[in-house]
Amino acid sequence: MNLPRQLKETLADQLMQRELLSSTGIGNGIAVPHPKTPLGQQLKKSMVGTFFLEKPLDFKAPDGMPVFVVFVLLSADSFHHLHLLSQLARFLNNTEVNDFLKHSPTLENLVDQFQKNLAETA
Amino acid sequence: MMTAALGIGLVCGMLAVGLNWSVHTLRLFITELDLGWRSIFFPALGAGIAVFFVRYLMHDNEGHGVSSVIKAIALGTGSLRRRMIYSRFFGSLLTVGTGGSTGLEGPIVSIGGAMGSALGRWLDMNERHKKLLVGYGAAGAVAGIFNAPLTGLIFALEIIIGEWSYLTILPTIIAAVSATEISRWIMGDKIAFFQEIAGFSITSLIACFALGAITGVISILFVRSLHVWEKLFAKISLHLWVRAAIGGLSVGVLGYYMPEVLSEGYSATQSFLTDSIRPELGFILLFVLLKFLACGITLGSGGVGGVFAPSLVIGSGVGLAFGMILHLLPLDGVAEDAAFALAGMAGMVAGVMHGPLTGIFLVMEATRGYSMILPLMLTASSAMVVSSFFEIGSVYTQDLIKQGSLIKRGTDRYLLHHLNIRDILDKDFITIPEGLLLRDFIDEFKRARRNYFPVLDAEKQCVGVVFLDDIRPHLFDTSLYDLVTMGSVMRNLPIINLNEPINVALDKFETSKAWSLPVVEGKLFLGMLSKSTLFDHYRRELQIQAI
Repeated sequence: MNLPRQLKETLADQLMQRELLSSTGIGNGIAVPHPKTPLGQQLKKSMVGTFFLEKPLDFKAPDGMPVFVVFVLLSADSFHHLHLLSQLARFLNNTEVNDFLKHSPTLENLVDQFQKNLAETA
Repeated sequence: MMTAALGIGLVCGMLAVGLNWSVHTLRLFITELDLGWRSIFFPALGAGIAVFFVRYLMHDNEGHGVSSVIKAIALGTGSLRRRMIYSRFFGSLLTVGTGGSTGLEGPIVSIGGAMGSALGRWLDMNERHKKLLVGYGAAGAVAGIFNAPLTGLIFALEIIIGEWSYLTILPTIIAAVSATEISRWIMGDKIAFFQEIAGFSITSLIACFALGAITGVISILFVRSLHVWEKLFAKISLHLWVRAAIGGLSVGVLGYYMPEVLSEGYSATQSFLTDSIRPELGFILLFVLLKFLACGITLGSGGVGGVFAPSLVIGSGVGLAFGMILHLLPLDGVAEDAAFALAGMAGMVAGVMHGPLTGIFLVMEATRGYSMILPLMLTASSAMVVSSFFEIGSVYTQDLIKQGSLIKRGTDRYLLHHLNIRDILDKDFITIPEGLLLRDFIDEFKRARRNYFPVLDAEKQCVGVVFLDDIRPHLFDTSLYDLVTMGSVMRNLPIINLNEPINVALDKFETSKAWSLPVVEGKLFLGMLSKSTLFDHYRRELQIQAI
């Protein structure tokens, strides 16, 4: 993710602080980590970074499954945070998408699938 | 309020007469000692003891007094310390009684204001009534010392209270009249500067414009010179009472050569107005210059007194000199010199205190004459225009304006200043922790009466506010229930500190566009301030102020 230097230095800590409140693992090996509060001036526009993990991690998800893919959600304000999180949750709460993600798709394929899914649920 | 005004008027009238009598008795005693050149030490002795008493024993650091009375009304709670009554009484008695070149009116106004404030506290009155009592005290003080009820009334309304409503006018009349009556009962119905003036020609009336402009300019120089003297004496790194003594010694030396500049100087004014043999023009100009210096040194070095009397005395000298010069010119129908001396007094009061009505009524009452009304009006208004063009406020209000402590009645800032944020906080809301999940928020939201939820961190400090409208579209999205925490959907709003002026709070509403903002005291979260509640109370205060 192309981030400002100051944010890069503090991001891990901010994500950990949120994780300490409650797990962002949503089940089926997927997690949506995000900072505890919107980033405000630290970020010009909201973004989502997708990372396929070489070694699955225990995110203390409700279903107990280790996480193999994380969608890091960074938003500038609460409005975009809720909007993006809602769309992501809807996209990820789909067994087809879950299977699709297990094949570590390319960025283009992932975006296509996301847009297709959005159009279907709109 | 009427009864309180009556009581305040009677007490202030007695105090004014008492102070006036004490000063003149002390002055007479010193004069009769006839110590020749050694008399130059009396003003030093008086000012030194006065400042030691006021600053070190009474711990009265409120400056020259009238400003603190105006500030107590405009900004504060109408509270003046009771000790001001004693400190100003004895401070001015020692300063002026020993020859300090200043007036008693400022200290008397402070004493009257402090009396009003003390009565307000004793009767457990609210802020608004306490402030009015301070104003009634000032009216009684001026009315009593000048034996001039109208002047007391106008001075209090124009300069001290700054509000003309029946709630202020009627009790102020009572205070002024009762103070005048008690003054007349004790001292007799004396007229300060009796002078019968015949008619005023058009030429003389036109000349009054010029006299007004001249007194306006001299007012500016006079007020600025006071600041210059204050700065100069502040550079002397000695005890305050030593500085005052140095100032007193300088005044004593001036007074040795021209005794007329000592003390209030009303005897010189009386002589200008009534003596059949007028002093030389050069003497009058020298008197004005020395009085100018002596007053600046007395007040600048810390002496206790006011600028009312020096303004009148300097104004009479300037007016007299102006009249004498006019008579040297080839003009017909020029009024007598004394008439210009009186007009000059009104001009100086208007220019120095920005109180043209006070100047007009003072001279009218002090001379018991209506015949001077037109020249007084022209001179005072002309002086006021010139002075207010160059100066941001009067001698009493300049420092307050610079400090941002002067808030005029009837203005938005005044109304807002008198709203107490703590009293208008919304407290019937539910606070939520920042880690609260959306699932648990649903339960909280069901019992909420407000559509906003202040978010508190682990240390119970407000870190933001969740607005129901922001999350309403997602309230029933179950996929978000365990993913969304309230800290991530709150808005980061500006936080209002309880001690902030309310206009700063309004600016925060303006910039954030929010309808409710969190209020804290230190780190403690107190509640939410809603813009609608604020304006509701503003309207109510507006109705009260309009009465």
